[in-house]
Amino acid sequence: MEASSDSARSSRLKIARGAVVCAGTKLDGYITIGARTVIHPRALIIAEAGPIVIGEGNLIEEQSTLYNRLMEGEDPASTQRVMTIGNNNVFEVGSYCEAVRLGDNNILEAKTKVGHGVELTNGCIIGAGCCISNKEIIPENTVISGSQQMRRLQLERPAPQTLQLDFLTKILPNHHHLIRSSKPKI
Amino acid sequence: MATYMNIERVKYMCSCDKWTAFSLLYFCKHCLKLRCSKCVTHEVDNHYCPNCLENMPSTEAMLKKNRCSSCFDCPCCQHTLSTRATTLLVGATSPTSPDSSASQPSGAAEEAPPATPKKVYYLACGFCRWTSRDGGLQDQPVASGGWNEEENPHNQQISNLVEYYQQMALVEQVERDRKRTPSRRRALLQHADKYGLTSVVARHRAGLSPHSPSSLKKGEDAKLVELEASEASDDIALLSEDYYNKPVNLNEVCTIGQSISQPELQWDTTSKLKPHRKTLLVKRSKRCRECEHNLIKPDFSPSSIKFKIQLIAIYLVPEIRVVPGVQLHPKKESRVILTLSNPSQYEMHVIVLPSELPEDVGNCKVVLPKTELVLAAKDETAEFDDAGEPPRDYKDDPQVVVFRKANKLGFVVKITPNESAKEAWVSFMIKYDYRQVALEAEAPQPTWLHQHVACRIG
Repeated sequence: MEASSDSARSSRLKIARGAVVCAGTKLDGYITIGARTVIHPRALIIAEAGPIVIGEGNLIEEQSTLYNRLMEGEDPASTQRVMTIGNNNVFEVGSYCEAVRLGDNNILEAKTKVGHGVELTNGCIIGAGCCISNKEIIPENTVISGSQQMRRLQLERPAPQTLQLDFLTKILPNHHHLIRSSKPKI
Repeated sequence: MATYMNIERVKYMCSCDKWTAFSLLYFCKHCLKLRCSKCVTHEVDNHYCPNCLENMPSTEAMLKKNRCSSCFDCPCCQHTLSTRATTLLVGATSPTSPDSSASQPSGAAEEAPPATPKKVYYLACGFCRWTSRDGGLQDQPVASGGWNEEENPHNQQISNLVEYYQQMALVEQVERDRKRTPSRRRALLQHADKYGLTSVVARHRAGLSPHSPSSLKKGEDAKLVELEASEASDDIALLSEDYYNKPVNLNEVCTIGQSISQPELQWDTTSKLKPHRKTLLVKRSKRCRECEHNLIKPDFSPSSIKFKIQLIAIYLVPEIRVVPGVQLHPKKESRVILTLSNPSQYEMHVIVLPSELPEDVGNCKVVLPKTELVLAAKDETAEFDDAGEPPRDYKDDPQVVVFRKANKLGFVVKITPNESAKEAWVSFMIKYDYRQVALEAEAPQPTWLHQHVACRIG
């Protein structure tokens, strides 16, 4: 029973070489994970309305959720909506993202909520606890922070978390079981 | 802890006839009276920066305009800014890109061997991610200081005005001095510091000119600095066309809070915001107005939260609390339990008496216990000692005292609320014996004190 579900999962899950995905992460549906991406245990990635494609160098911390959600009245059989996440994004602890398109170098700080209609471009920072749910495209390098959700344009985009990713790829395998990267089929 | 103590349900009457929450009161050991923050004198002990905890005497703080010289606040969210270090390659092929962040210096160094990495510092806000680069400031080669600040455009006028008022105050001072008897002069000198005058007055007394010796003016004949009065002009520069034609981009416009946080500059666009220096905080000591003894004296060091003298009411006066969960019905008598706890290390006798105030805040009919209540002494070790010595038998009336636990007891009052009132308040007076804490072995003589208390029952 378990073996069959495992094999079913591995056929739907594609993990690139160099990515670290800890066991204990909940991965549902068709998910592709790019190289150098680190996913902590107890993260939640659910591809309900179609596949989720995660780019390179992303950091997805524990208890953060990526949810490609079926909207009300949509037929699960016919809907095929791809959720694309670019490179070098950071999803901090407890963040919740339903946005279908995410660019590069975005940071979702702890406990943020990004709704379905939102599209994040590049270099956006959603400050801790902020919630955006309107249908809109957030312009590049926007910083949203504080209880008033003040918006501001930053001069430069945040630096990628290279050091942190390198550290985690070294440390996490010492203490966690990993989900193996899938072998390329020739 | 703050919410545990800070309750508005029970109020005590301060010696200035105001009802105040118990946790905010002080108790003067020398006058044996309660004092609230409005009836004590506040004195500034020292200035300190809340971020770097640097101590500063008040004259220095005044010179620095009550701001810290090394700490900055974020102009966007008023959070404290932190200094970040990054490596910049000097002499590299592309000196225009200062973004080679600390994470990748090694790779970059290999590409351009002649380039020497140089550490530079910038300020960044950990909360809203504002950096000093956003404000158009150059990175600094030293970790602290070196940030050039925007000059206040009205600096000259302000310093002129200050000088003018100092002279005015001096003239008034001299006139007042002539009228008064010489014996009172000394006392007057202490109050003359309003415009930083003491030094000027001291010079004047020594027969010198009130200003530096190089100043041409002499003594009392000194003419006042000529001041140009500000004039209102009719011609005001017109707003640029952009104000009318271009849509407002809310991301670029400062909020009111952001622009008035720097009143002298008042930026209108966020790209111009500059970090501002952190304001200093003060430690205050409080003094009883009647006997001039200290009630609160904080420790001198800014990093310490201890007090040298701390006479707050919680430590000295029996505390009354209302046991919650009472159902009150208008015009029906109900039992309410109040607890009484003894903060002192001696046994305490408390008698509850009806209120004698002419204007009573209580709006309920209340039946108070008639017997004297005896409170056990506070024993700080008792909480941790389960077995302990068996409690002394106090021969309590079970109709009055419901429970007894260490230095605390619960007693019953019967309350009949009024029909019209929104909140049921009960007021009464407690009479307790206060003993001065003494080091000697024998118990000090008790003093009977009266205290009005009001409780909101529901």
